Amino acid sequence: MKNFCLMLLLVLTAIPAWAAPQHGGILKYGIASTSITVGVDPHVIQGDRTGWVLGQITESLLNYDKDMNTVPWLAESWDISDDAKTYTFHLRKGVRFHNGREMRATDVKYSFERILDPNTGSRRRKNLEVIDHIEIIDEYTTRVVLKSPLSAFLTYLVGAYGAIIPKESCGADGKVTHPVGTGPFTFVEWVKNDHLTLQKNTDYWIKGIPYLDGIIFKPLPDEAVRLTALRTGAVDITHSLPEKMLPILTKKVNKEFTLQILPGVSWRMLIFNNRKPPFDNKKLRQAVNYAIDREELNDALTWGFGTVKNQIWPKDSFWHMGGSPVKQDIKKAKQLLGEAGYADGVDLLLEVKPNFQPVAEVIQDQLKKSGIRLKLGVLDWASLKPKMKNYEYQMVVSGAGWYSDPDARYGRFYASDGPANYFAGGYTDAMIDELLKKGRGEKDPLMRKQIYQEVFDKLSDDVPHLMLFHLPMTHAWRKDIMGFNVSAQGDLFYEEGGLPYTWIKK
Amino acid sequence: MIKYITQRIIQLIPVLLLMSIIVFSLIHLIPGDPVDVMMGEGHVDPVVEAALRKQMHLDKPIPIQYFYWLKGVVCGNFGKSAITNEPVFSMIMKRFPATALLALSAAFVAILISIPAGIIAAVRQNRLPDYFAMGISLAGISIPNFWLGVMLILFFSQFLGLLPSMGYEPLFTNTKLALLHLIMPAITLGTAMAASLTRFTRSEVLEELNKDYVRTARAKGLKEYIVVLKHVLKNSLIPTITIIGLQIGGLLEGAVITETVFAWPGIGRLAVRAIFERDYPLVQGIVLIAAVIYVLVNLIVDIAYTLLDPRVRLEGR
Repeated sequence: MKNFCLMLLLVLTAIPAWAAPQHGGILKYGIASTSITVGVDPHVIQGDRTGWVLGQITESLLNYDKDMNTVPWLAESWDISDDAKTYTFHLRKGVRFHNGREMRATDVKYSFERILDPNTGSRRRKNLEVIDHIEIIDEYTTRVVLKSPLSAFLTYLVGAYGAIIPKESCGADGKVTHPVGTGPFTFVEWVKNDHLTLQKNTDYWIKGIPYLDGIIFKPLPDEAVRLTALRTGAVDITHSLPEKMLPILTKKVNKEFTLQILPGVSWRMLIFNNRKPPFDNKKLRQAVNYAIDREELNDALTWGFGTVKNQIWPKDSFWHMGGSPVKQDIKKAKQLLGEAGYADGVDLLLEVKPNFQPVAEVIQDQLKKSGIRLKLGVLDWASLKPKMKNYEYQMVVSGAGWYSDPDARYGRFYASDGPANYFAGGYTDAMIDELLKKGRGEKDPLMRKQIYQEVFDKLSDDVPHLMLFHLPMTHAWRKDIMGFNVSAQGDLFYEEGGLPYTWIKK
Repeated sequence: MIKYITQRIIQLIPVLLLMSIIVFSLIHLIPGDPVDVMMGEGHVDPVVEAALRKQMHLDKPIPIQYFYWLKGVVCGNFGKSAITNEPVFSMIMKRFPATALLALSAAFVAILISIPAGIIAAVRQNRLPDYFAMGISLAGISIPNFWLGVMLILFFSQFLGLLPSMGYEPLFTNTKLALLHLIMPAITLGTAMAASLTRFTRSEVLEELNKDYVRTARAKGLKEYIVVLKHVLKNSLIPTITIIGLQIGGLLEGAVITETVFAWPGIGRLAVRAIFERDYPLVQGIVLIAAVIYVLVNLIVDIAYTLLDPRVRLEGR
């Protein structure tokens, strides 16, 4: 935690707050598309980074503010029935799609039904599976009736996954190749692996924005290439800079660009195969838990710019569950290993994607001290995923990001039918299932907190997978770029912030 | 001649058929499929996955999938990308000009350096120019593409600010800008080819220099530069041109790295991405088109022989 002062906010030069925004200019954004960019269909896309891009074109009924609270957006307001099963949305009037047609209740119905159709291929279909049917009350009012109460429902509508799109933007085969939405920018063209171009929506429903005439997103998967691109002016803004460069970049007086380091939301984890020996043995999982030195991992892999936490929630969040990260305790690890039946040590296999190989190497070294000998295997993601889904592995290092509601965090991972259950090593527990179901239906936040605290405590003991460290979230932009900021989750368009509020000083 | 060319093009068909079967089998043998990739990390939804597999015919046996693909290709339809749903042919054609420009410029750079360097090294064998050319070409073979690319960017873009560090501009819209973008990628990719080609040219010229007709030419009093440029060069170029044709394949390979360093939107990067994404139709399409190009380039090389050596006759049997 030696860099705790950096974690809060590090802006090396202050932007004069009184400067009046200027209109015009094309912004070039260097985007780290390590997660594979899948098309431009907002309902199908995967990966937050594609979501950032498409979030400039399409919008949802709700949006987030800077601190990830939901705020009214295309829906001006809503009513929730007492049983938390009926949501009535009152749409904003006069919002036009990029094709000039006004957005109506029928578009909301069409969009949600499209997400629910398995043929669309939306990877967030499961989030909306709870919808029973959608009624149209009048042109600007729509009612969504759920099969069972779901208190996190509103958060599942935010973002490009819940985009409201016009039916006429889908081709005859039902696919979207030219996305149309209500957002501040309109889609111009996309050339895979090269660029995606957006143009200002001059008829945007929030008057006065965007300031930019257009944005060109350039996918630059290599972090060193991103930094060079920023320095040479090939891009104006970029993110996720190489952590090993941060000590140098933060020390020298920087005349070229502004650097921002925020506590990150994406974390690295060690997944155990809970369903098969040897890791169906809780004692062995606990032994590994104590054998790992998280601080050292954080120092080695993020140069100390990351954070070691025992949960995703920030300290000041309502959902913070207390407690602290487990410290390395080799004596205890050896004792647990003995209790697990491996008093003479054990040989195990750890498999990773190429980008997680450095993490795996540090873990390999740390576990050796407790008598756990690791062999490493490196596979590409398309080969590793089927192994994980079929539980044909022992341990895997992977990553995940932050979600704004505990149902999205705990329900996804630990419910036995959760869409990300295989990322928790296929962990199943009847009591956890029961608690998570209760948490979904409970309306009172205080009661929900209690339920999830119980879940959290049991999981801290069961350790289906381990949280290792959180990456820092870094952004850098050239000196003539003004008013740029990101939300706590890194989104590029949230209430009163992001790219629509960014401008270029002439 | 026309008959010969027609025959060569007809011979292409079984080659492509066989190659497409091999590639199809190989890519289906690696674990994983495009649906797994599309669903991303941390998501499993059997309902959606089954629907998508059905759409892409992935639920059918592999020979039947191959038949579907072949049927499309015969009708001129390369199918749509499994991941992005874009037509494969247009995806490749969008990138083709960039790759063609890069490969041709790299070959141009390579030839421009290697042929004169090879000749000088041979004529001044075991003297300073020879050692110099051979030393440089050894370094050229040894230096990895990505390192050279990054060094060029650091020097010409960051320190001198002369050249743009990345990107591609179409040649005919803004020629000056396009050439500025082209210089460093072309040098990076051309260097390795130039290095090996220099050594090859040198040894070929040396071999010719020791032949009887050279002695005759010298004996009848021809000036040395005429001996080398008019007699020796023409004869030594025939094997060199064969090597250039074969190296076009190597250029496509090296292009993957160069394209990554310079964010060049070419086919090489597209191919690598397609393999990682298990985008079967796209991989098939790229390999097919690359094979056609390779065969055509070597056909052109064969035709070039006749221009260099009138004794070579290309005749259909």
